[in-house]
Amino acid sequence: MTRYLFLLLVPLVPFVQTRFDAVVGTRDLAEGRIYLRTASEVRRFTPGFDNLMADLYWLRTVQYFGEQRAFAPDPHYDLLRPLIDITTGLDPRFELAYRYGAVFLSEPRPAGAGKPAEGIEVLQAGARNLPKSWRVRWDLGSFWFVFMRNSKNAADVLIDASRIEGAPFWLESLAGSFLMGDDRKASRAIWQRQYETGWGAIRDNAIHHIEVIDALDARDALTAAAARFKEANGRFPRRLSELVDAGLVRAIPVDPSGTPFDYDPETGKAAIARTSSQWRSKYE
Amino acid sequence: MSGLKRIVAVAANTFRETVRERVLYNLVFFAVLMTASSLLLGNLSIRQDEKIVKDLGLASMDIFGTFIALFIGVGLISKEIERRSLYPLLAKPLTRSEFLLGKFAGLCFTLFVNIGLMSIGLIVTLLATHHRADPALLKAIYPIFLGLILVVAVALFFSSVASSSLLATLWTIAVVVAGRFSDVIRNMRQVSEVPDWLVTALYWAVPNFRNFDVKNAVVYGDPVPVVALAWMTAYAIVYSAVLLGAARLAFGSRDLH
Repeated sequence: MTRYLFLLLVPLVPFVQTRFDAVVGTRDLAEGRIYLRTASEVRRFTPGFDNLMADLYWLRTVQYFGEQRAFAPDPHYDLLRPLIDITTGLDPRFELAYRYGAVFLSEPRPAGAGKPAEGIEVLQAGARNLPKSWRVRWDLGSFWFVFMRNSKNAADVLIDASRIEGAPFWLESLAGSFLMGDDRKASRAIWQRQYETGWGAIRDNAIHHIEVIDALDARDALTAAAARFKEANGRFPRRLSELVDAGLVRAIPVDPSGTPFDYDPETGKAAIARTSSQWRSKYE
Repeated sequence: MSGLKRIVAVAANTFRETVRERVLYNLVFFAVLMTASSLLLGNLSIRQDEKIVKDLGLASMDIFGTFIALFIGVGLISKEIERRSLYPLLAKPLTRSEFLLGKFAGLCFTLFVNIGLMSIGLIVTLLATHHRADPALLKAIYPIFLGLILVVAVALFFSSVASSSLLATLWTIAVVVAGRFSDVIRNMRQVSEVPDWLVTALYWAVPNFRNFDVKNAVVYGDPVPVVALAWMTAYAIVYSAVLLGAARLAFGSRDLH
């Protein structure tokens, strides 16, 4: 009988745990610790196992990100950047650590850390350490465009990426697309180069984008002519034909698809017609 | 019986003896378990399962192989002395050098078999995760094995010199750890006032286990030149020969009565 006395202790386990939690407190998910803050510190303790430690730190990064995102009541992601830096410092060729690490850092809160500038820094480090990786540069260009609204930097990085051996042709196309909103001249040069060097669908795509740029240029020219008309007459033209009558344009233009431009006499602004194949909501 | 036959007999006996060691099975089990755990860890890593399987598999071989070489290696001589099982052996027509070489060869063969088992574990894990059993992994596994041979030589040397297996274990651990920090030793002159000649002497004296570390290069598919493998092999042979020679000297002059 005495051999079963230990069973009396079983109910004590939850009791002791409850008392312990009351004294010490349950573990706060937001509270994390990293005792070694740089890759070189970790490397000093694990000579010859850099890749293994990079893997472990990457797993910890993923877990930390998921834990903060899914469970922390007020996620702050403070350890995210140091963990990514340690991982990539231990294994500078860990491509996905740069790419996903940057996503974790850049996504707006609460889905991510909401620190796109840091995400870009991580990708820039990746681009330095992986000179042959067009994928890291592809991400970097996209991040400049999406998170920082900097189409110039985005296009520069993508064009740089497109010159790497094995890079897909569409990186240059993407650069051209990014520039269409802010720097149509540079965008036209990219599409012109694709038109001259490409073939088949690449060439057709380049023609299409050049036509969109032509349409945007014509639209802007009409809007500018309407503004000049107002300067002379104190009002915007009621119809585009008045611009011809006033000698400001030679003829009422149509876009490269042959569709007439829309015109708003209240604001004096011309627009590519929604029915046109050249219409793109993002450029209106 | 010729000298070579006597060495082979001791080696075979050492192999039989070491494969009966419980610590060996524990370590091999943990090595295979660590490799297999990459099946789970790979899933947590976001599309990096192949890299993690290879990194973990090779690191397991290196870490657990070193433990096996170290903990069994130090017991090869000192335990024989402590248990007094050495005396009847040396009473037979067997020189101390033959005994030492046989012990060394026996444990090296045990390690060879264990590395083979761990490699099979790694290949099975790779196949289970739908990846190719990359033959280039052998370019990392072979240097790991060379490093383990050197650990056995270090362990055997201290086992011959030290008065107890505990002391031999501590000295061997110290040298193996120092050898893994050989790059720090080489760079010492940049951060301290230590004279160059002393740094160089220390760098040459401590067995350089970093020579055998090409795991990262192999995992990333970098070429490992045959000439580099050849120099690694030469280093392992020369250094092990020096240690075995010193062990023979110490063991030969040791008063066992």
